[in-house]
Amino acid sequence: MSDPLSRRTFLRVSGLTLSASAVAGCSFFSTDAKKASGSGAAADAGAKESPVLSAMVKNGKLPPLEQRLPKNPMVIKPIQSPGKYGGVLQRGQIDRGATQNQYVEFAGLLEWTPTTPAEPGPGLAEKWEVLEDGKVYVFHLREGVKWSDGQPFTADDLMFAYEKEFLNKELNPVFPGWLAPGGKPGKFVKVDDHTLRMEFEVPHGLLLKYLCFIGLTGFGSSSTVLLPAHYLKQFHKDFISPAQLKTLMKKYPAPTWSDFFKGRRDIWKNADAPILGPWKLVAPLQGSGVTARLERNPYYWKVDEQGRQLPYIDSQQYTVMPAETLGLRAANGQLDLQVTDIQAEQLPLLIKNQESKGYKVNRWVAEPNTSINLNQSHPDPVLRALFQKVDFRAGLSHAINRKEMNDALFAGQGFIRHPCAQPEDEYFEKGMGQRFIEYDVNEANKRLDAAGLTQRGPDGMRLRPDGKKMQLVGRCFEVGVGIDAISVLEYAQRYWKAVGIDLVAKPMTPELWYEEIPHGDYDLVAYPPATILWDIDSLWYIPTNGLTYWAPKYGNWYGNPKDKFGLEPTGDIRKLQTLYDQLVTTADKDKRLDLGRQILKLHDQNVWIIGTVGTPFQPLIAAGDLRNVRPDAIASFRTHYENASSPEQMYFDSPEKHS
Amino acid sequence: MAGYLVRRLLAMLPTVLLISLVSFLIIQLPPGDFLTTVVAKLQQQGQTVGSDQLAALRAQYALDKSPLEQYFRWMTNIVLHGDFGQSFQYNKPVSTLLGERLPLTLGLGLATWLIGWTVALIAGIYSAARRYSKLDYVITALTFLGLAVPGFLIALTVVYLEFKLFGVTLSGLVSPEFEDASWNLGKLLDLLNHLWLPVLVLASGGVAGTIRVLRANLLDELHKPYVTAARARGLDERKLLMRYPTRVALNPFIATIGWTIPALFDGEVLVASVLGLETTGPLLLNALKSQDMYLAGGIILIACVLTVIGTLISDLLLAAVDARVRIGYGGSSK
Repeated sequence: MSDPLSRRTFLRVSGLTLSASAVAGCSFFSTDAKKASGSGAAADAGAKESPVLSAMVKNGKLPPLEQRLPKNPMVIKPIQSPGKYGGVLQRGQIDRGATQNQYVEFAGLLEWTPTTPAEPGPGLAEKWEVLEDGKVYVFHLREGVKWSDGQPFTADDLMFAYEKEFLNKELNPVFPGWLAPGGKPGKFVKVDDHTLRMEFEVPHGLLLKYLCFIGLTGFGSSSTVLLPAHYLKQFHKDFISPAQLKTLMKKYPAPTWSDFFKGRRDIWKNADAPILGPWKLVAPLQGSGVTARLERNPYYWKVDEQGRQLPYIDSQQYTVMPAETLGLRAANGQLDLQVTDIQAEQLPLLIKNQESKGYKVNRWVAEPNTSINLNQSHPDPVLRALFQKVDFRAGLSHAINRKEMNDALFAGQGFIRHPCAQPEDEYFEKGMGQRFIEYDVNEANKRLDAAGLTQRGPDGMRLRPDGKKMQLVGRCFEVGVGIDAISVLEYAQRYWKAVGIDLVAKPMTPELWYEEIPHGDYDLVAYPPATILWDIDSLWYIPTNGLTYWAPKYGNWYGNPKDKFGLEPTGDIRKLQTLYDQLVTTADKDKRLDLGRQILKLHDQNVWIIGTVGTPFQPLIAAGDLRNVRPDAIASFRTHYENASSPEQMYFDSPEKHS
Repeated sequence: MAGYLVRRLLAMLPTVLLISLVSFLIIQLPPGDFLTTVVAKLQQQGQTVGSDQLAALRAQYALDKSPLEQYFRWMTNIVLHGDFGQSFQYNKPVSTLLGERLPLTLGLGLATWLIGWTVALIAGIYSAARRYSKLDYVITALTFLGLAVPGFLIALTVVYLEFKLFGVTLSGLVSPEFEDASWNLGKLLDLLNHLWLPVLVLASGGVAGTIRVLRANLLDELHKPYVTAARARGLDERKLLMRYPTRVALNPFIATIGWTIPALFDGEVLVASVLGLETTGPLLLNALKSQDMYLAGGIILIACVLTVIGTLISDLLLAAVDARVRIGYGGSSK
């Protein structure tokens, strides 16, 4: 039972459940939930690797640690203390698709430092040089790093991603934008097995940040840079005959070759796909099953200060369940690490139970601040001119009683600010996002009058500048983070009525939303914009596409001046776009910071996005004996949520209780 | 009878085709398509898809063709190759996805159906035969509750009470610690411990309705002259009840078999979603939400074929059980 080998074998034959249980020595009449192996073996503090792995080395199933680690492993300083090996991390998720697993299977050429704000730090590349003012980046890969199947990771893997993924029109109809500063696609050049050059026609200002971000470079993404060439060649059109491909596609049916290929490198569905992160998938979700299992990557290339291989924790189990159950399980102390999918309404229960059920709730900095986005690119020229007046937006903002909303929704704990990045963002300057924010009905009326809304209809509501009746329609859908968008619109409706502005709320389905909203034919929407690392996700502050909610048509124009839903911006809004174009192509940090601040200052002065009340904190649920968890950090997709606390260096104080 | 059967079978074909066409078109009616959902997902993760990229993707998936063209391509593949197409969302063939979920769906459906009918039969007959007895009032009260309270609400309440009182959270089919454990008595008991809740909740709604119908029907029959006649001949009361009026009162049961069969297949959506049961119900819901049309279309098509078959079976059974139905067809029983 304690032989870890039997578990590995067991997992492979788990279809034959009954016979497997006999092999593993479990009696059918046992009521014990112990799995076919016990991973709770007492962890020896002096051991350089997990007992699970040393047993495999002893059996000759795995090369010794020295051969698995690179020449120069990355040394991680644990947040509190060096850990113990072992344990299973229990986690939950609502969606059956890939969510949290991608962050713990991820490894970056560069990785975020565990700091606030997060900076690009070394990862698979131990060092790098920026040459020719940022037109050339040279990355020096850690020598001897291996994929989770033991095959070496080299510059050839990156070349494979460039040549066979990015340049393949079927896999990527358009070359990834993040590798094309100024719209000009970059080039990868292999110098030697461990050196790679990325060359661009114009300087690249954000490359290092992009490389850390899973949304662009992770395995789930279509523009991932880290692909196991040795494994994927057997599925790629360029390397196999059409006949071979046909046989393979019969085995793994998919609508198109590109779906088939992506399916083979899907780290959530295909347990064979090699990875470079700390844990790898061994048992995917199947059929009506609700759990998936990840186990430690025996070739992971990070160690602690004593040279002990990470991760400390042996495996992770993901259970799919409805939101209500997930909350109850968390409140029962059955989930060991959870940031995503915790619903706001479950918070009181979670906080109340933490003592008695032995888990803790850390308060991380939250991002969402559901805001009112007036459509600056409104198709109606009268409303467009009105919306573009600072006085109008100032009037609407002054009319909102944010303190009342804060007290009612967050017991006064929320933050009050217009989205203008947030204090933890490197471009933020103190005092930003506070303009027109205080509740002042007199001032609001004064401002609205000044905006030219002096005439009122028989119902006492203000008329449009051209004398017609004015009713603004606010659109929203259930986003899932921040204050419910519909509540924000309902509050606004009440506050604005008091100053003579008529608003109706109109919720819609997400499907309809993404179909209609990018056309830009609406008055305003409620939506929480991003406020951290917005430079690598431009659309929130700079109209760069149709989902820039406060100026969709200008965003469409930026993407394609001939877009039939586009409109050419002028003045400060156009300036945002040119500033951002410069920012993307500025490699010098100080100059880049200056450009970013100019963008935020324009937002600060113009209040294009009217903020309401921000979520006070993002709860992070952690098992009582889970160590090395950061007490505070920013919970954001762009820093990979809980991964801001590097799960590979987390450990259980009593791993035997988590087997 | 044979002629009748052939006629019925022939009439089924256009019915099924028509339903499948209409449902396929309805799935396509909302604005956007599967790619809209993809873009939405990417957007939530902070990624953006350009319009040229979108057009290329649309062509790859043949989503740029007209809905009718898509339908004919889909139907031809089903008829000629038995291929229901691919789910975009899961990147798997529709048939594989359904196959994976059918054991749980059917198992749950059958268990619910058997338990539900057994309870309903006994309670319904008792409740009619002993009208206005204390137990009848209890049954009646419970059935009204069962009818009035939606299943998902019962499920939520029970899940919360279990958590509150016993500190356990029932969801899925086995506890997390047993999830990838090998099969032993413990896991079996654990499975049963999880199974009772969905079966109870799913059965409650149906049972209540059936009890009421059976009770009403039986009450109608109990006062008919043939019952009096049989009683006058000194037939034992229990024998009489079971042999004559109950048989007649069973007709609505038999008539509804037609709906039971597709219900077994496509499962209960709400309760399954609340309890985290991965049956075909939530699969269909997700497919509809994300406009994964071949998956949704496939499930609906199979459900409608089963409905048509179920109706036929119901009719045949009714004819077999009830002489009046046979004779009503005007000599087709010859």
